[in-house]
Amino acid sequence: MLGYALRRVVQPEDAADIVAETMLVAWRRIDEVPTGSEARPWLFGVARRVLANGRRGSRRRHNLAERLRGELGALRVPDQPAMVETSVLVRAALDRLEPDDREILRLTSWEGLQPHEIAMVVEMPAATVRTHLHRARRRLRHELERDGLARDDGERSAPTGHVHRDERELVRDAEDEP
Amino acid sequence: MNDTELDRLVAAAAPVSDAHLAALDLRDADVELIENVMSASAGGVGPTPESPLATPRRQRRRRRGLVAAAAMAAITAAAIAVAAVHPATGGRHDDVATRGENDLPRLVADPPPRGYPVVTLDKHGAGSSFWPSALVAASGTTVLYGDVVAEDPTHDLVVTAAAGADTHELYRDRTGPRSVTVRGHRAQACADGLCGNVPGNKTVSWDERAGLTIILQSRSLDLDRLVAIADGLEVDGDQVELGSLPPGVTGLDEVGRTHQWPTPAGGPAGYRLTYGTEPRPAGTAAARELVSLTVTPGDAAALALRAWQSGFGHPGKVRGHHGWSLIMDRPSQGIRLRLVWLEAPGVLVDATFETTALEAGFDLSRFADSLRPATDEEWDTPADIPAGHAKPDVPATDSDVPDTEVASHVPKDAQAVATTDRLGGATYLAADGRICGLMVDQQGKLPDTCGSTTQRIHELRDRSGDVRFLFGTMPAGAVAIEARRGGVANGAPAFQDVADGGARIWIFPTDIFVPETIAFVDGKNNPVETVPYTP
Repeated sequence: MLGYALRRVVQPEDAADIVAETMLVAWRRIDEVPTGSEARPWLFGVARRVLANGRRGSRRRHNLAERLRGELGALRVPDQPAMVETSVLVRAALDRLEPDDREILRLTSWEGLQPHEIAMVVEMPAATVRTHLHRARRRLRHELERDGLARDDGERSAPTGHVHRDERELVRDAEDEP
Repeated sequence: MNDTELDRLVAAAAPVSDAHLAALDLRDADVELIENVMSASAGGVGPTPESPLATPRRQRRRRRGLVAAAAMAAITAAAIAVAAVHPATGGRHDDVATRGENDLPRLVADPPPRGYPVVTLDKHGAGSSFWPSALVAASGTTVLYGDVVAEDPTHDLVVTAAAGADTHELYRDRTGPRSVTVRGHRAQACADGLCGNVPGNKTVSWDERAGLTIILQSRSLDLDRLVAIADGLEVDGDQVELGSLPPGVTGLDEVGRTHQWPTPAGGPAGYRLTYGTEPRPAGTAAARELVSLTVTPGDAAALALRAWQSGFGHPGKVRGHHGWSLIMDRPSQGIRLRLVWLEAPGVLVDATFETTALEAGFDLSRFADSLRPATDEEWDTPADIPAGHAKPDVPATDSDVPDTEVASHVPKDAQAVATTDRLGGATYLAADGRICGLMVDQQGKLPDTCGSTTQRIHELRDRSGDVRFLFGTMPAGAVAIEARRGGVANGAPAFQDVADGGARIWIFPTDIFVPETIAFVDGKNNPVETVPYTP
């Protein structure tokens, strides 16, 4: 949860407020929190809405999380030197995507969620998530290619097959949707 | 680049990796956060006594209060004077039996709450939510024993003997109930800390015979003792009295009894007048906020029962009468903030603000103070009672002004900025070291108000000269503020750090809560400095 929040705020200490608010909501709705592996995406879904609210009312502070905020205030995470430029470019390319596409890619790569779990977070059918994911990857490749990051050799030889396979999976997944 | 390679590339671009997180030692902060969160709400199952997270009850209650304040859960009693309530001394059944529906005072708010037009007036029923769900359609008697009216009871007992009780409601959504045997009957029991939606409550109930259900509840006694007390009850017809008590159980003197329950045909006698905001679009955090005024026959015992059911509240004065300010925080039901008082002998009034949005707030004390008798015309056509609005010469400055727009008016060389998410306010630390407040309404930006950082509280006024915000700089060591009035903390301040270890700046909207004091508190909520405020 803290990682989710830290990866989506500008100031690390703001993540403390996101976590506090999310946990407070979860505690108040404890009866609604799913058990097992579904709890994590459920919490991410709450955190996503907390983040959205936080952007409306920026710099809200929670008394609950003062200590955590203090600890995170000292957190500085430098990129690995070799990755600095690439990371900056990738993040910039992500920022150019549609918000839903961007978030689905982040949930996939940063939080390691599967499409059915992402569906819980973003409140979309799993088949729609897969469609978004497919489209987001395609658009990100395009953006990275413009920035000179996507390799031409792999980009042109491998993707065709992947795209076809993805499309078949999409059809199959869509048929599986209740 | 295939999908896997692309995903790896994106993963590597994450601002914070899992490895970085794993390297952080946040155990203490984690524990404190979880402890605070669990202490902050009555939702769900609380920490067990054995849990390392368990804290003294009073401390948990205090923290709960703080969070309710941080959530802008507005509830104030104008002059809280903590005093013990002794329902029995108020006379049992005083005037209740003789006070009929038509004898109840017809009250309306004057002026009506701003932005809350009349939604409904149910003249012939106070509605079910005024009573515990299990007893909505029941008739019978509830007897209060011990210290039920204490903020932290140590020997409380509530015994209900009723016909038509829906005991299923007592256990709805709870873990269990478990089955026990009481007086030879199969009984249901619940000890998970929120039975019947009463925080900290344990319950045992059974059908003594056809038409008589007995329910024992307590916040202080454990389930085993409740069962032992139940086994010793003396039942004579519909009359239920305490009999022999188990060893170690003392102090269960009767302090009051109430039996003004709903008639089977309708809700409780009385009426309910409801004000509410306009409905919000589906999917928003709160569909709407409601303020309901419920007036029923009731005595001191009924008042005490309401306070006991809340599980968190303070006794005090409301409109000069004895009452309670209560916070009812229910899973999936949002927050209910409640003032309950005896308007006159035999007249129980309940003003409740109901919301599911943490950000919403309402000054119930001001609402209660504004009540006056309604005219016949108002009572006949309540929908025509005009809703309160902002003064005509002052455009609404509510959330119509986005904080991004407010921030755009802050000087570029400001050292720090804190914005509110409502009302278009901000404070900033100017390059020359002064603390400034700025406000934007639909007519545009108002002139900034600036002053010395050594003055703790500054006022920011709107176009009509009314104070809309307080702002300033915190003393060294303070990280948050507690705004209080009448002993109740409330409000939603915004803070912002200042670079190089400078004192935090803060801003506090006064639209729903005007404090009497502002305490600047450290990370453990200990006051660093407390400053009185007089509007």
